[in-house]
Amino acid sequence: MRRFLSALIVLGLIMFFISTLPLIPEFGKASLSKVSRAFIDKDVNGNGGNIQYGVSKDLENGAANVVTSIVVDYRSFDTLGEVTVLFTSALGVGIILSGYKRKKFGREPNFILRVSVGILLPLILLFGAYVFIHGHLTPGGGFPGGTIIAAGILLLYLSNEEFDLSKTVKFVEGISGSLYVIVGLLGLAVSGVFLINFLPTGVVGNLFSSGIVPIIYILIGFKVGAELSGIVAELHREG
Amino acid sequence: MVYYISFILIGIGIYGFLTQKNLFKHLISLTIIDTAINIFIISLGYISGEEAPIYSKYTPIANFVDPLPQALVLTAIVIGVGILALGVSLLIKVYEKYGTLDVEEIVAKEGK
Amino acid sequence: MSALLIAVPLLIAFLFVPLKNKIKYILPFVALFSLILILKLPIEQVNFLGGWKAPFGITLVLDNSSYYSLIVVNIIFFLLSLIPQIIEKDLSLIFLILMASINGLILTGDLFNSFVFLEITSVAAYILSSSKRNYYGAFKYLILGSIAGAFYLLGTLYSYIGTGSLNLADISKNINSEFLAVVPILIFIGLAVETKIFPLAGWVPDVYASGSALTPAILATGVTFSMMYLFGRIFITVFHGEFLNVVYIFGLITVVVAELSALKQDNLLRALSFSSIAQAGLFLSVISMNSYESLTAGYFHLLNDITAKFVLFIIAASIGKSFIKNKTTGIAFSIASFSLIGFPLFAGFRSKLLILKTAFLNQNYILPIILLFATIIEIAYVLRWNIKLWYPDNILPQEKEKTQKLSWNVNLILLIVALVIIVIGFYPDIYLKIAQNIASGLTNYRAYVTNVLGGM
Repeated sequence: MRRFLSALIVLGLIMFFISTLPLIPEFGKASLSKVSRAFIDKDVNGNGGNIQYGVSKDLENGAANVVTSIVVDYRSFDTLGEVTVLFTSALGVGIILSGYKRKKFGREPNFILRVSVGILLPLILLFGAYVFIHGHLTPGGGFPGGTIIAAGILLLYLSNEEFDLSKTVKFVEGISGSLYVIVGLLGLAVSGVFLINFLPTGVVGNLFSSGIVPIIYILIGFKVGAELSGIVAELHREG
Repeated sequence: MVYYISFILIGIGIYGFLTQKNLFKHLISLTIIDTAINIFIISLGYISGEEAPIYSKYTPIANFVDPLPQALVLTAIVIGVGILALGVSLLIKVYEKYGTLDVEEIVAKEGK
Repeated sequence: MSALLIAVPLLIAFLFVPLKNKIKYILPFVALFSLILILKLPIEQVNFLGGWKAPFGITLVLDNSSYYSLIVVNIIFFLLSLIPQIIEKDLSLIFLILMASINGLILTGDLFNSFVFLEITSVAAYILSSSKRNYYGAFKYLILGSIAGAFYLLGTLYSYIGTGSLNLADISKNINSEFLAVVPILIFIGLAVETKIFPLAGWVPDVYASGSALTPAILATGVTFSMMYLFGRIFITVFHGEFLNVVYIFGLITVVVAELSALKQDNLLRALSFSSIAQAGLFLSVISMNSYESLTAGYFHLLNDITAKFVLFIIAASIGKSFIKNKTTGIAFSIASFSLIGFPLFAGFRSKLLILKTAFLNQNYILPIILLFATIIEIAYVLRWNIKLWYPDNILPQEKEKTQKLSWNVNLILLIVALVIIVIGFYPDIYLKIAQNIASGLTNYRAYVTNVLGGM
């Protein structure tokens, strides 16, 4: 009976969604909204348009990666909120699982694991750092970069029974989070607007080309890396 | 077609949430719904024949798909991860407290 | 400047992660700071974050309605921060984040940004509700809340397709009737969990009745108020009152079901939780009449309800089985509960009268019947609980010794709030002014659109 009713509800829901299909553009035939158009042309303040890679310079936003320019500049406030969600849940995992001790197997991890971590870890960390430093030029950014770093930290946790990073993690996430807000407040102090991009932009495609975007993405990279490592560490405990 | 896939996935998620008795499966249903919506968001911005929205050597001028849905999906994914981690840690504690993840058994134990 | 209301609590939360134990002493100062900051802010101010103008960037809108909502919410936070006893050690950080996110939820003028703040608020609420080892209730809330959040996101997306923008004012201006048939349904499901509409309110008693005083005291007052504000903002300002007929019916069903369930409870906290659901349903059905008068009546009633619930939940969670050792607390409880049922001369009476008047003005006779029916049930259980707590029978001597006296600051704040209830009963002007300002801000959507998008 319960299954039948649920199936009925689900069927109704799917029918509802299908009935909305005429409203949405056919797959692959979407058209750019005015907002997206302005973001791509970097034309919000009316002095952009016809961007060319490696040529256009001193735009309102210099990031070559348009998604990054939206995430970290045009809609940076969303990202602050998003980082806060992750921060809050990392904190919550810590609160809920408090009192748990690190899980111990009582024997040394595999030789291959221990040795390969030594080789792989620097590479993983370097790759993570590369991804978030070049977030405004290439696909990637603070969130993937931080996740890659957290994966490296997970390897450390697996290969060493005594390894514990929880104090450092707390410190790093606190500092990088507050620096993000402070960068926003600096904008407020410099030009009266919270989270404004107050540094000059350069030629599209150069490393130093988009003002505070790389700075914020580096902070996000550290913060996300620290938070995910914190979650990994907490979930690695047992009662 | 992609739209149908995400609608059906949302349906599967809701069905799982309504019928399953194991709490972990509720969490999985939630993840399925999240994923379905992310697929939906991404596919809404797709324009066939156009490039990923990054100015580079190979795509020097704007000929891009809609970048805004991609930015939104990034936010949605991160929020989903946070909630998933919180849910898993709650489940660890639920199991510790009741010794089971079955809804009916938990309700029976709560009533006592 | 209004961004400071979000930035400062967040900054302090981030800074104090390594020093979690010290943060308790800072809470009142942060709450006081935001309260003073709000009072100093000029109304009718739009803040373009990052310097990007309205339909493109994210805006923080400070108009009549958001200004007064902010004052209400921040007063609640300030009062709670003065009762550090009920804030468990680890939860102070969550308290700060909740403060930032609720300020953001009220201020934001962007639909997707409101989704982000909705999620921060709910994540913080999940953590709060897991206190006192109430893991199952918290998990139930998490699953329901997140599924609802997913629907809210879908609604956001559909309005993006429909209008090409995420700005509330832009959506309000450009949305067409085809999308108005779809988007409100999705947003309604998305908000139904937090606004406690009947089929999706099953989590409320499990979470509110966990035994922690902070969880219901914050969720049933501040969070509920901000969600109701968001509901009004989206459905009345943005969707121009579309879809409210359905909300009306759901609201009335919620009232009936919740009051009947409240009557059956043998746990005070659970009874109060169901009463909270019922009042939320009543509020939603009142504002769905969608006029300036009904909105005023609705928000006035909501204000009275949260004032009463603030007192009731804290007392119910921290007191044992009787008022024998806490006579003053008992008096505050009785005042608040009489206001809840709308006893003449108490605040609740005024707002219920106003609701009846508005309903008759709109020639609506179903709402008054339901309201009277709900009031009769409320009288039944509120009187029963009052008698039970004042004249407890068969209480064991050792239990009597176990009940502790509440400390002076809790009693003081509860008494002050109870005094406010009595004052409002005689001079309702203060609350009425807040409610009128919120109502005028929400109904006047033309002013909102011009305010955000600039003169047109």
